[in-house]
Amino acid sequence: MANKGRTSWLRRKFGFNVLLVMPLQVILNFVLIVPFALAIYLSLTDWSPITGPWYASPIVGAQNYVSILTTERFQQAIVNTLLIVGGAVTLEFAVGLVLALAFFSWDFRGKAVFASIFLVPMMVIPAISGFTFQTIFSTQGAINDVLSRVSGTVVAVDWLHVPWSALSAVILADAWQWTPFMFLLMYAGMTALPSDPIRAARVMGASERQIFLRIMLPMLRPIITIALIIRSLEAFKIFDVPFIMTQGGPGTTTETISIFLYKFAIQFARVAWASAGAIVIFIAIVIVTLWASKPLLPKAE
Amino acid sequence: MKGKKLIYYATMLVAALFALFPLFWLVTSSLKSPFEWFARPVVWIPAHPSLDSYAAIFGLPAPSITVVGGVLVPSFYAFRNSLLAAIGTTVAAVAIGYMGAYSISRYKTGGAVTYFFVLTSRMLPPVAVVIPLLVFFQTLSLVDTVEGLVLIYLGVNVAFVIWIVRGFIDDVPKEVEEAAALDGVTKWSIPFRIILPLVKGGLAASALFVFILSWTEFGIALILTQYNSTTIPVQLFKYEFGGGPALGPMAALSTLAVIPVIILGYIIQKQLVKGLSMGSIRGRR
Amino acid sequence: MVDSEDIDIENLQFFNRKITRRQAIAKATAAGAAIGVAIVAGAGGYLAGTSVSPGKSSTTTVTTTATQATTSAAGLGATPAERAVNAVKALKAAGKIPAGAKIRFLEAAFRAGNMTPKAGDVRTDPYTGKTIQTSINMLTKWEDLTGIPVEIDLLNDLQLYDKAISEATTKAGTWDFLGQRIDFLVDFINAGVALDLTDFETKYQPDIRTGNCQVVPVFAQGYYTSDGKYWGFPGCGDWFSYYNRRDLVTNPKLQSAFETQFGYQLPVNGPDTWDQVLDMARFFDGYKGTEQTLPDGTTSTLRGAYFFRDTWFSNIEFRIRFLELGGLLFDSNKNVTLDNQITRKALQDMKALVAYQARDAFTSSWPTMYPNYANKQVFQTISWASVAQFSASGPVGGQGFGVYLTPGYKVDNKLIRVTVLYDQTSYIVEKYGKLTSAVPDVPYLFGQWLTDPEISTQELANPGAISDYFRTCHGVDERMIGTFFAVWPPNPGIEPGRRGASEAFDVQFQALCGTWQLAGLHELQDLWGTQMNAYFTDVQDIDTTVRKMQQGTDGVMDRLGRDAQYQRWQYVMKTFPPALKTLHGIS
Repeated sequence: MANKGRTSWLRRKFGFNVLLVMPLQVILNFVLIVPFALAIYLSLTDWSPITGPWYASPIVGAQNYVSILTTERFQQAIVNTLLIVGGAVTLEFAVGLVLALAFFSWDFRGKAVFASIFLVPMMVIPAISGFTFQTIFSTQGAINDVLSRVSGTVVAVDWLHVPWSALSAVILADAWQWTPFMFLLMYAGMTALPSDPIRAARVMGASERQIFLRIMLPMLRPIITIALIIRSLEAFKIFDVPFIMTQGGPGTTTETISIFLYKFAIQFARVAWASAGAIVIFIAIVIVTLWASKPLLPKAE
Repeated sequence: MKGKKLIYYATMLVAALFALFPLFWLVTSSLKSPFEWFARPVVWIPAHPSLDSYAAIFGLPAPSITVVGGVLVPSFYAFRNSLLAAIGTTVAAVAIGYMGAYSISRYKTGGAVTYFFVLTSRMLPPVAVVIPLLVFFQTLSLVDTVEGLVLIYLGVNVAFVIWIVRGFIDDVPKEVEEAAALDGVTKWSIPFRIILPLVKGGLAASALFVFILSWTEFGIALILTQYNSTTIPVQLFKYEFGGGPALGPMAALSTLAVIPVIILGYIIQKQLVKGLSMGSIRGRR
Repeated sequence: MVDSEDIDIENLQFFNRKITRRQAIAKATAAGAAIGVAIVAGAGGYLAGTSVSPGKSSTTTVTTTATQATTSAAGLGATPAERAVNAVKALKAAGKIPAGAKIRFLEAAFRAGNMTPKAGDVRTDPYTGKTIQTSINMLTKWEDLTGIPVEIDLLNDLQLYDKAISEATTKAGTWDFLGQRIDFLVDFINAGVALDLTDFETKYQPDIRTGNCQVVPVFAQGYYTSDGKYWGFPGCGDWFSYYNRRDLVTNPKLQSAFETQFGYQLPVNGPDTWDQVLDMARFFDGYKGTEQTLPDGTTSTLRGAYFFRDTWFSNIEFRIRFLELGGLLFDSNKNVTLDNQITRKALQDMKALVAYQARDAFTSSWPTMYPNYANKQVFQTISWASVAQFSASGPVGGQGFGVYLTPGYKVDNKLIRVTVLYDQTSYIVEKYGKLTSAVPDVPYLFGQWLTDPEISTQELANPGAISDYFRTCHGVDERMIGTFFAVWPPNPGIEPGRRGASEAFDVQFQALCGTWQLAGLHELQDLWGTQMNAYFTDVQDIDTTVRKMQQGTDGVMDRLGRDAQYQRWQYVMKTFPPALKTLHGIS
């Protein structure tokens, strides 16, 4: 890290660093800024592919924004998404942390094998895991079948027909797929901790619980923060799994923002209107992330 | 002590079963006959396991799949396209991301703004910009090309490389570079000859993530690919069985699609945990 | 009209997947400009994101009228297929078809089985050991006849619409011939994706709206015709019918038990009204008699019904009940009329069945129903013909099958039955298609050939699966009766002495109604479907449901033009079956 006040030889060569970051900047501009600028423009028009070319569409101002923000279904999609993000990320974090702690502090063989197995869910195509979980949770599906066999009575819980359990099922499916990611980050974080403080605490007679809560957890804070941010950002975009598992139902109680935008922007050809919604969402995420990740951002010198 | 070990293994085994159960479902589904795909109550183990689903996805004779009017689309092309897209994205993302991460880490280029800008690339649901993207790509003739897919995947996934690799570079002591500079290594060579070997682990980890994300991406590919660049997740939806999903062939293709990632994961695994443990994603002090 | 001299040879180079120098320069300039802008934005945009406007997308010049042919229609041949092949040959001879031309065909994935198996493929049914003759390869046959190859691309039928919309957005012209749900025809016309085929119809005579073997008029008028113009070809009309367990309803003990419980005779030939459907579902729910014994000795418990409650099928059944009860979408003042007692009655009756349904009916549709029915788990269901085939070839063996007519409601003591065609995936010609832009006749003629009544009988991939059986002559064609109708179990009750299901067809046709050809139908169906689903699953009450359906529909109508939508509804009313026309006083 360059110290303030001292003029490093690196800092005098300003051109080199810009050159290095250039390809990154170009690709992001090319792929993201241009379509995003186009999306902003479109959100101010009343364009739909079924009404003519986009550049000929008149500008209607903020009308789309007002309209989509007052749409009940859009509001519900936001709430659903927040519930899924909250539930899934909490679950992933809790399980990932416990598993990583077990991996870190327990002494047993075959860690490499277990680690490989734990990583497998991440590698399954999300769309297909949606199909699999639909079969597992359906009324005569795997879960009820197991419960029936264990209990000896016919269990026929309609997991996917009741809002709270359908939402839970979606959360569980997402947690299945992405807990490995949390596990990996937490485990990596733990192995990177300096061992001296832990050893010292142990010598002084601290319990394992105290060591974890008082020493490890505070030191893990930065990695926990970034892991939570990354997973929340990713979970916010959840699409394939609920789309295939519940089609957003029952009613629209598991319809996420992505499903909503997909339906209206692509299936119902209301591109301008849906773009306005997407931009609102984007701005909201940027603000929240900016607030949450403030301690993590590098400070410009 | 022995009891404790037992608890350890039991816990790990339960977690492993949980992780593998849906995969078990996938593999058994790929061996089921059409009659068992959607049978209720569910069929756990196929009565007469058959490889017909695998044959069907490669356009080989698959007697049991045609009973109600199956669809036979060879999947070679989907595999090829997915491999090209995923490998192309991974290589480019690691190269571009590494340079960017080095610049951001060592020079604080762009300060917080550039770093946050990179983050924003993962904030927008892809479906939100896919129509504008389609309009834009059409003007450049990039629709339905693997190159187009690589470009867009690069844009949305390169952030992972920045996140992971930047932390690694941060952890490389400054003295290493200064010593190299004194030895006469030019500033152009430092990131590639001196730093690169030290952060291999981080590159491997980010490569795996980027590979997985571009290998399994569905929403963008659905809109941007037609004939020439169909990827595996899109190909999945071409298997229908008289109007509903043909679960067997879908499961067969997904099972096959997991294999390359597992191989890559196995190769990278050692680097991965070791690499991640170097501190990296911990963020900044 | 385009003469051969007018064909811009440069624009035809795409056939070889090359672009001309001029196009290459244009593309390179556009790409360069975009990259340049990206670089400038990258260098200068560290603190402020610069917004960039991309280049105007290029518009394709599209030929929309029939190419002047040298021969007149009458001289081309006796059947639509002959005329199609000869017309292509004539165009070729006149030098109007560029070398390397090929038809790009986007097809619903499930339907491709009808076309892609190799010629003469014979497969063995693993359950019965019977030999199945699969279809000839239609696409190869077309190429043999005309020399023009067809490149087929497949997609899940639910995503076909998305592709049509992206074609409208980009005008890329990826395909020339599109398999689509014809329900959404108005959107395709408004988006400019569908090519107006009226001129071609006059010129080449596909015999869809005319002739001895015309398509059943309601389909021809209600599906392929809009604003008096002609737009599409019949594809897979997946005819859904209602089935119940005939072995149970013919059991005398059950008959008398039913009569004791409900005070009227068990309707052996199928229920006439939805009230009877509900009674029968209630009566047979939980039944575990000897008929329910499975080959392994266990007994299967029967559920009363398997009527799908996913959004798509909810819409279908709602539309039937709504019309049967005398509902209309608009009143004469152009107000949407959904928030009323008719909608309430229809939805409440649908919900009453939920208690007796196989509960998976909510999250899954017929793929789960097939094994359910075949394993004797449901008493009655709605399905297409292949459920019989599927059940017969499954491990449990053939069930007692009975086909019955769409049930109705009694309005003013008169039974009204309405049938809507459940799933009509048809064909349109894509206006922006590359071959369409050059010679629109060729993709059109391919469609005419593919849906020729003679050709379509050869497309049978399997018994019970057919591409087009709504030709009026198919019902009397011995081959059709032998292959397609063979798997339909005869239901002697429908009309003794006549041929089972084909007889049911005849009667169903009397109750047939065209599709609701409205703009934004995709959005409307999603709106109605999700609201109904919320009601059926107790997420919201009936008042909220009906109010939201009304409000949402009003929103769509206002946005897409209430007057135009009202006019389209007037057209739909013209396709009503006679009984409904009488009820509403439509001439």
